Amino acid sequence: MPKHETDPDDPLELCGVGLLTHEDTSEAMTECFIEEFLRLGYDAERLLALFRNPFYTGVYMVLQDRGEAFVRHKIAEVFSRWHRPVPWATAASPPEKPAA
Amino acid sequence: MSTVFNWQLGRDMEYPYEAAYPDRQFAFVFNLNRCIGCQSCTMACKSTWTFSKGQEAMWWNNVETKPYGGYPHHWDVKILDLLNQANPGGQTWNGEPRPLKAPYGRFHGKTIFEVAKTHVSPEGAQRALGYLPADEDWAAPNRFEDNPAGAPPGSPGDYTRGDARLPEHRTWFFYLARLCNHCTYPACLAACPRNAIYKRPEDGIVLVDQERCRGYRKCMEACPYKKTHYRGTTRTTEKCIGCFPRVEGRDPQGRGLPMQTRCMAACIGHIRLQGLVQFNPDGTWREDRYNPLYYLVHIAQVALPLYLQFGTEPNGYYIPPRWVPRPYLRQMFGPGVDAAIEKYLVPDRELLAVLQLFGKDARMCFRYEIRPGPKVFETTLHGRKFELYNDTIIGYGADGTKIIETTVEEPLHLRPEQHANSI
Repeated sequence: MPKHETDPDDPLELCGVGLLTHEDTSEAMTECFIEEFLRLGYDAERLLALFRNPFYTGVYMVLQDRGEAFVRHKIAEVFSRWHRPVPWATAASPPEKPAA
Repeated sequence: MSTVFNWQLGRDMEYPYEAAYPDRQFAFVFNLNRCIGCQSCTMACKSTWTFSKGQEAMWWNNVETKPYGGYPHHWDVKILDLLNQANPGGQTWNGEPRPLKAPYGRFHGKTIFEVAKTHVSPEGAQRALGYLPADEDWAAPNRFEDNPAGAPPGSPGDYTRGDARLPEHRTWFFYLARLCNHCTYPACLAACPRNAIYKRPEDGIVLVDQERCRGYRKCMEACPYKKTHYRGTTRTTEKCIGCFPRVEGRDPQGRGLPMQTRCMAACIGHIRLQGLVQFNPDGTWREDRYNPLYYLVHIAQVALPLYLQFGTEPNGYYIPPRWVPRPYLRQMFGPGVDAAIEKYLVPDRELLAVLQLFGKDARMCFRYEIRPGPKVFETTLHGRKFELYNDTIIGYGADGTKIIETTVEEPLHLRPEQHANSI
């Protein structure tokens, strides 16, 4: 078989290998990053800027995938849990995840 | 083969040499919940040690995206597969955890040393189960790792044909920062036919004697973490040297005190903490209650060794990322994962304070103490009661000098724009 032809049965050939789960854990990941940077002393605006920065792939991917309203909501939620102020109003409920 | 005690596996195991423990052991903890994959550590190492001719594809420290990537490519998938082939379905754990001697229970599977006894590779017998990565596996670290949809059409490595496109991953991932684990039972050392690899008695750092090495690459084949690298221009193997001049306290910046390595000190996300720990005569960690590494590994038990089932007793520990599905994490960090994440999700007063030591000073912290502060608030985190106290944590260097003093609620100082890139 030519070297560069895709063999779907060869799990080692591709960079994206078969995974145990297809679970979307981006919400938990978002919460985690917000909490970690909050503990480092970041305020809400600086955190949102991190999500908007394409060089921070993980958080940027969340913003692309779920939208800014979702990120703002999560920031507000985590900040209120940690008794920190946010400069925007806390959304009552998270926006719906757009269909894939 | 000798019999040695591996506390991470909770049992004796076979190793080609008799046990010999250093006076102190180089060890580190990485908090993966904080890593954003900026590669500052990678570049700090590269610009210090591996910027010369022949070292182009050599990254003693690297950060890879899991589960998609690895350096060399698929290193962990390949060694896990080899182990599974040798002991199908047998890599299991059970037994009650016991402090110090078996904190994760008992491993009933086989290590890379035990499998090697009955496994003969095409090249002959091995002292540790392994494989030699191909040149192209080393050539492009991080290739496509953060671009899960694949390479642009027409570029090298493009797998698209006609209308076929790889799906874009919609699933979880995290960044895994890695360097040599300066293992207690190094596979590289065990495999070297020239006895060119040795473990320093003063700090447990594993080094390659460049005078003795002849570049047979048996260490590269044996190291399950693939952290020894071949240099074509010298025809020898090189590896992470644990920034030993800094660990010895010879960096002028440290004013005689042991310093953390370049990769640790350069981490902007404050995910890293490095230090030296001590062993008991049986190879378990000597109690040192207020050493932050001892606390994180043995008291709080939030920091876990990477692929401990390989059996080399690695001295790199990781606080697992809390959003990643547990079966994957259990394979990577062992059965201690669930308890570690539960503890980390709602940290207690001491853990929250100790986490503040990460990235605060380039000198090594040997001891900490906590001065109680006022209660800030009380709330519920993940369904459990959480109280935040603004305690003060103080860290001390090797000679008892105070090197860190900070609070849990730490003020953030922003550098003015005109001094953004000043040192």
